[in-house]
Amino acid sequence: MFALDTKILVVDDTMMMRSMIKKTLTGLGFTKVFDANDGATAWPLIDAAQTEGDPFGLVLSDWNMPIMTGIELLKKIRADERLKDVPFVIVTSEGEKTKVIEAISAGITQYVVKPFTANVLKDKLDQISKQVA
Amino acid sequence: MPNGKYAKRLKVLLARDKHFQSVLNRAIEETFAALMEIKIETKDGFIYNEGNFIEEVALAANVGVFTLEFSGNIILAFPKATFLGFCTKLGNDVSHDEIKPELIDTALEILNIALGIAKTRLNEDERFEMASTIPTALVGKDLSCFTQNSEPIFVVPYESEFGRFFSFSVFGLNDD
Repeated sequence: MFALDTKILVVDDTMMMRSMIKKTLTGLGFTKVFDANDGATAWPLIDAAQTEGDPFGLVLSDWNMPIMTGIELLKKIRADERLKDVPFVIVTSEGEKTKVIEAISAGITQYVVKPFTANVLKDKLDQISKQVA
Repeated sequence: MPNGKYAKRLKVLLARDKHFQSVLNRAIEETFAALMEIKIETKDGFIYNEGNFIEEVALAANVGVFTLEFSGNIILAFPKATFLGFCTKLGNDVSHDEIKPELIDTALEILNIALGIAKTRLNEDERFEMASTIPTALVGKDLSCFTQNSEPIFVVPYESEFGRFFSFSVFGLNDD
């Protein structure tokens, strides 16, 4: 499991979904949960946090968002030498295998299909911990 | 009441859409159970006409659906009190009195998630080959557009602890 003081960024263009995911994460005990409403807003936050020496340790992002999608944000992160290993979870309502394969090819760490329960998210985070250990 | 030609057309449409509607209903129930931990009860559907009582709809989410056999729209329609109840439940119990612009996306997301479940089930388990558009919101005058459609509209009411809401399925056959 991730340390509970891991800095987490939740990216979703729907206010209620951001709120719900943040609530789920704080319910799991995480204390540093931030949010952004699309990839374009998230990118400068991720970049600045890294530059300031207080990087995000996990990004949970929606796929379909205006301005910059989750996959576009992922590609920017993976293309940056400083950030390329940051765990990135796509949280989306697209559950079809073709979409999952597309996301895996783009470099996601995990894939969560909406709607999900706290236990499902916890399991996914546990899996990531084992992957990156 | 539908005339003969209308009734015949309706019979064909409903036969083709019955399974689709059943999968959609289950997906809607699952969406609310997982997102808000609330139970949704699907009621018997009916054909929309002016004689049916439907609470005034304040907000609807509309999505285009395309399959090999039929295409059309699915609309998830919410009376104000029902929708605000859902927003309160979903948003850490912060209560809302009005449907503010920032809440409208919630209706789109609910439809998107339910449709995602239905699509995965139909396309992967049954090779339905269904595609859909990005949902859009209908408010104010735009809400009348689906009741003025020339195609039959199948309405399914759903009961929740916050009141009723509805799905409107408006489908036409592709081989016409």
